[in-house]
Amino acid sequence: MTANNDMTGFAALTKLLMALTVSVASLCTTDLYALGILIILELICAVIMGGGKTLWKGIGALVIFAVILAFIQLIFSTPLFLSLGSAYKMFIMAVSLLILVATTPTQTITASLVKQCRLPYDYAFMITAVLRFVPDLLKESKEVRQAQACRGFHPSKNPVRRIVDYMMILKPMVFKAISRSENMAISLSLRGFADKGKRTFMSSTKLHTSDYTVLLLNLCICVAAVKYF
Amino acid sequence: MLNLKNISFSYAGREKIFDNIDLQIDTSLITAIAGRNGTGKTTLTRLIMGLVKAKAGTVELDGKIISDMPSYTLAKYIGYVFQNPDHQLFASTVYEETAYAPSKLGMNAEQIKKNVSQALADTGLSTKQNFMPQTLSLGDKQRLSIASSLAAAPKLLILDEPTSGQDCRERTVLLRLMRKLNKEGIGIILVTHDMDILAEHADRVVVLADKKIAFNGTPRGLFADTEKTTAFGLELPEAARISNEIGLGLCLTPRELYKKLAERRKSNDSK
Amino acid sequence: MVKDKHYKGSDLRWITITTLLLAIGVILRIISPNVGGISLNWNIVMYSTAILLCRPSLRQGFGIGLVSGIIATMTSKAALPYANLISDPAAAFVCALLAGTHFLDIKIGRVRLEPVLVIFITTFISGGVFVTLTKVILSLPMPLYLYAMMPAVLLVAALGSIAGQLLYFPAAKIFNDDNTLNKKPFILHDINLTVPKGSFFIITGVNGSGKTTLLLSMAGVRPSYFGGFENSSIHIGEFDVLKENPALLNRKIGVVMADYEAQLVTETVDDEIAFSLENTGMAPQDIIKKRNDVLKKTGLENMGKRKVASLSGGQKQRLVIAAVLAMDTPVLVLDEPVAAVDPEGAKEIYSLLYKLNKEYGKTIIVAEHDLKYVLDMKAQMAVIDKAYLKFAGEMDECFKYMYENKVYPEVIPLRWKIRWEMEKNIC
Repeated sequence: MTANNDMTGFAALTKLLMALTVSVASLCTTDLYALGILIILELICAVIMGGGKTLWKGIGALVIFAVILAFIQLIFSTPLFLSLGSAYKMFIMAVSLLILVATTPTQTITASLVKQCRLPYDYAFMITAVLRFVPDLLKESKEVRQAQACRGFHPSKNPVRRIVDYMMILKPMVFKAISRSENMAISLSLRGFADKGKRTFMSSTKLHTSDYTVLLLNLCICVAAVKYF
Repeated sequence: MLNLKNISFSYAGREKIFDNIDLQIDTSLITAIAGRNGTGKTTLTRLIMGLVKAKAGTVELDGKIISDMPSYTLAKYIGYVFQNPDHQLFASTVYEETAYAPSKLGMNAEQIKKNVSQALADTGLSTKQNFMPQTLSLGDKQRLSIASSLAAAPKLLILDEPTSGQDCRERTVLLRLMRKLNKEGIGIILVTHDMDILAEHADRVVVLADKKIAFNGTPRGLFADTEKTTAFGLELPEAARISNEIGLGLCLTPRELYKKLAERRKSNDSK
Repeated sequence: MVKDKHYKGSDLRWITITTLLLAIGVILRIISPNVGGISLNWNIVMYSTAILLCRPSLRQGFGIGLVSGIIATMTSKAALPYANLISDPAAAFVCALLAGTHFLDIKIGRVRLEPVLVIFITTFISGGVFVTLTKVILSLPMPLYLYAMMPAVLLVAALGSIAGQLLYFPAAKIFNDDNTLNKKPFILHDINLTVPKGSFFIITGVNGSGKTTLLLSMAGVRPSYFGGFENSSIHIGEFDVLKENPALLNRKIGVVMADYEAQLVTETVDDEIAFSLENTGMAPQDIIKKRNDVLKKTGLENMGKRKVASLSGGQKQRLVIAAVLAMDTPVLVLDEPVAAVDPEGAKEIYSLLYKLNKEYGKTIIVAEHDLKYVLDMKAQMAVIDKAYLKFAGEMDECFKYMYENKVYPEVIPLRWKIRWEMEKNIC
């Protein structure tokens, strides 16, 4: 999730296109050197985009995951270079999008999706609104869990039973969401949400010379990596 | 008797909320917990209920240490009613909702039935036992969450801002219920920032300030010292403010105020 | 009956319910128990439930899947984020198809099996597409795919469908009850009410007497739970609320409801104010100016970058007021604005409202039980009892009426009562 301001000046669309280029490139090759170059390219991008702690933590987690993935394949007696190759690919694709979401505010991403990728605004709105409610609902889920514990609720050891027990936490939250959704709908319509057609977006989505430059550079490196190894 | 000994508490990575406090609460009475925002009123009751664990110190109920018990076991002895009933109502009928706690605490069918019908009768919900909890009014929902705690037959009931969001009529009904339960022998701990309710209904009041118990006594003892009350970030109850203004001495409740007014009138008449 | 050309809450309901349920899905992925290391994909259970509740069009269903896919990409460090963007829309599309045609609405005995079947199929498609893409793209070994990944998908689908079956029926009951909660023919009767321009107007009455409905009617809202107007007219100045183009209405009247959480829809304070203004098509530099202005008026200056979730209840309620103020409406309607706010926050909100009324000339209409905050103001007041308007006029006169006729007398402030009774020599 995002926390930081757009400190790099690169447009969301640029990051998205770069992510796609590098991912497609990784699909076009099985050469470990080529994939290695793509990984290095991504890490350089990560540094330039300056994602901060969230980004590097995410990358760290993905490294561990890549190792596990390679290991599992070795267990199923896949050749080493293939195992490593798919671990590399997984890492490249996951990091490419991680850079986008960790270095760009949600509002900017959704504005870009609406203006440049033709996503209808209703859906873009849902994306930002979901992320807004996550922390508040997390607090609420804690309250619910405590309230139920005060009535003797504790999760059972039997795994299937646990899912059924879990309804105790889930149900109050879903019920509340249902009644809240009515007020939310009224409030949205009163705030002009349904007036389609003339909406402005505060977030700037325009591509500048620097955007075109990095896009081109990125593309060249990707093509070269795939072609010459 | 509820006994808190040498309790210190802080949330992870934050400043201390309680610094080595001792507190005795007489569980046959209605005890109100008051204090400014952020002094830890709710944290104190959650500590008693075992929802959060103290860094140091113990909590005892009638001589038994309860601070190492998990909340779901403690539910047998203490009922905790949260501010927002929507955070716990899950069942498809009022009856089922009320029966949850006693069945979870391992009571037998007969006992469950008895407890549930008693709890529903106490809270005035007997006629609504087949309703879906979600379709009740806010006042009914709040009393249902009280009933669902009562069905576990606790000795002590903790109410966290039980009147919030309710209209004046629902509020009166709820406070009357609280007093009735207390008369039947259930101790009440009431967290509130409504000084009118506190003055009228609490036997004792505990004020939290500066990580300590700043006051523990009767409401009259608290409000007699206006300066102290204000220093705690509390207001005088409306009846006390009016009686001070018209020079009647300290009245805590509307009833007392009316009585004093009548006395004054009588003495004026006889003059 | 005035027929439906007006705002209907339910038009947007498929959006709001999906939003809230997907948010729950996100946190459940973090906190829910797992079964032998495999955790349920709650997102799918949640959007399937939303689709079953609202039965949206195929296009909307596809969109819901896309949103879920993007959210999953943004919130989890998935091994193959792109796969979510394909598997979720495909599954949600099928889900909307099944829900829309009621194809699987079958019963065994008295048990309706639609949720368990639909959610099983949806989860299976989503998971199946996801692992198949993963297998192909990362060229994983076949035995891993057949003996580990697919069985896991089946298990997750089975558990998810059980959870969905348990959840759907009570949820549907609430969802539909909401729509027909009041079976009475009318929620309000014969209301004749004039609110003078620039006044501070209080509406009181017990919960359920019709205060909220009255307030929302003023704003031209017809929530799905009330049917419509009969022989009614509502005017704001010359503006005919029930007949004019509803798109113009939010320039006339701003509404603040008690549940502030439901009215805040963006991540930061700045975005929240901008949201209303962006909807009107205002230019960005004007939005910035307006925003600074309303944040200052509501005492939230310097909080623009704060996350909405980090605010206190009182601050959240003030933010809702600020977002409504940004629309520059002459009339402001508030439904129990302090019901969920602590006393300190409540005082701040009332002094803000008072300032907006006195200094900026806004007409303010508030539904309220707790009259201690307004007792010393010069205000007008009306009391509603069981769907009828009993009295409207100066606050003092209204108290007198309520006192003498025993209409909701509990709400009359003690101070007023004593003053009155001493004047009348009753005590």
